[in-house]
Amino acid sequence: MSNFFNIIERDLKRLWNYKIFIFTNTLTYLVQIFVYAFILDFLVSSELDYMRFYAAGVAILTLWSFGMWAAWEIADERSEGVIDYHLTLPLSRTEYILGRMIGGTLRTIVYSIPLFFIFLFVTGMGSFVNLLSIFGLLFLFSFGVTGLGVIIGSFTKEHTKLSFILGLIDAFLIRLSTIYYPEYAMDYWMQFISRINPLTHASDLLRWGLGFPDNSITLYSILFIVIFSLILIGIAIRVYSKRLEGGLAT
Amino acid sequence: MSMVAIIERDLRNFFKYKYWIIVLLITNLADLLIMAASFSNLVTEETFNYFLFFAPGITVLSLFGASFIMGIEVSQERHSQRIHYLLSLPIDRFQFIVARAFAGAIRSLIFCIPLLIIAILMLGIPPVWLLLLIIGVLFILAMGLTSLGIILATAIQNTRRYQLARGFVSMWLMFGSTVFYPRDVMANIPGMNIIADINPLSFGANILRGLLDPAYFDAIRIIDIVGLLIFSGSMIYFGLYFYNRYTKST
Repeated sequence: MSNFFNIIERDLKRLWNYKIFIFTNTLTYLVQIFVYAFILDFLVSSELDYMRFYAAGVAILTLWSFGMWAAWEIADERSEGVIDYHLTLPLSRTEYILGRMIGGTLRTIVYSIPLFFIFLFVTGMGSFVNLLSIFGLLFLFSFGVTGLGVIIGSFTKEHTKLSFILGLIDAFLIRLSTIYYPEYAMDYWMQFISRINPLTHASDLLRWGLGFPDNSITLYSILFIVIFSLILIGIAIRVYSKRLEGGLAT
Repeated sequence: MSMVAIIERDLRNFFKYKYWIIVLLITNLADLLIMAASFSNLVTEETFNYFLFFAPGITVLSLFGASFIMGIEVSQERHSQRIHYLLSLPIDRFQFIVARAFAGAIRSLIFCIPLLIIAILMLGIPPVWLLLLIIGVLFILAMGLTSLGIILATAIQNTRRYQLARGFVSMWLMFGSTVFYPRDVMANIPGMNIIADINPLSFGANILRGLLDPAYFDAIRIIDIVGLLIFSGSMIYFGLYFYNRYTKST
């Protein structure tokens, strides 16, 4: 069990290796909320508090982009041969894989907590109990996103291909979700994709947790996040374990 | 003749980043065709069409994204020590630097053409002389932005500091300009309109909007034309200075 915690501890410590990424990312998100969204708020109908809406969306985007960072880390470790060293350590394969994934998720949460306080300052809070229950689901969501990052990172170690894949996913998944705008503003075909988009459900759940007036929680959103995350976690464990076995140099 | 060879080499090199170019292009297209289209449904003012407003803005933004690639390339040449090979070529230092800035500007222009075509299709096809004027304006802006990218890459030799500086400059250029929102709406944040007035992307976006859309013809102000010329002129001058100083110290 101590091996498991050692892996998690190591991953958490590595958070500071990304200080430039963290700093610029944090600053970008703050500018997006306090400049970009604040200005756009003046263009939008007064029925929608766009700055609050946007801040909640960006909170989910933070979880998403930092969780997906796992893809870069796994790919780097594969190309640098660090995994070879990891495999010589006296710990079981399951401990290693679960430790890495939970470590990655906790890292996302640790990174996101200070930002969440700023988001709460902007969005305000309805019910503390609702928000707390949503945090549980968001933890699972982060776990799932880290899993997705692990899956992608396990299949390619080339930076060019990786940035291509992640760029394509971001270009469509983020824009076809309710991160930046509500579903009623989208065209019909966009709404259809948005309904099967995990970012939409995570954003909607957070907005409900924050007590946004026009956001009601749906069983579909809860089930979607739970099933999406569990499936990705399952696939990630399987894929990562298989790729560790013999596919490191490929 | 040797200048042409350098330009040709840089143009060929540009297409080595095909994955990066595709992702950037798709992201810009998604910003316009998905994000701006959806956001325009949220805008209440009937006379203001955000989708049409954003089309010239995203063209300028794509030009900026592609222009900064030259700076990244120059920075990478330092790391890989390829700069020593380039400097050993039988070409005058001044010609070499000017050729690189030219190549960067041509590459950016090529990159932004698909978005320019979409903007033209949406706003109406302008007469040939206006089209030539638009391309001229975009080229001058691209020269300035490419030179700015080169200045950052050569004046700041520390990689982390360079990445930070690039992040800050990008943030100022993107969110502090009239690319995403009109200047009068920006004025809701005290001082933001002044920031927009000293922003080269604002100059480019305002001029392009005015030339493409007769409704925005008044948006072109003397400050935009003079500002664009001063920005590009000074950036080219300082770009030459810093690149020259850097090649001597390498």
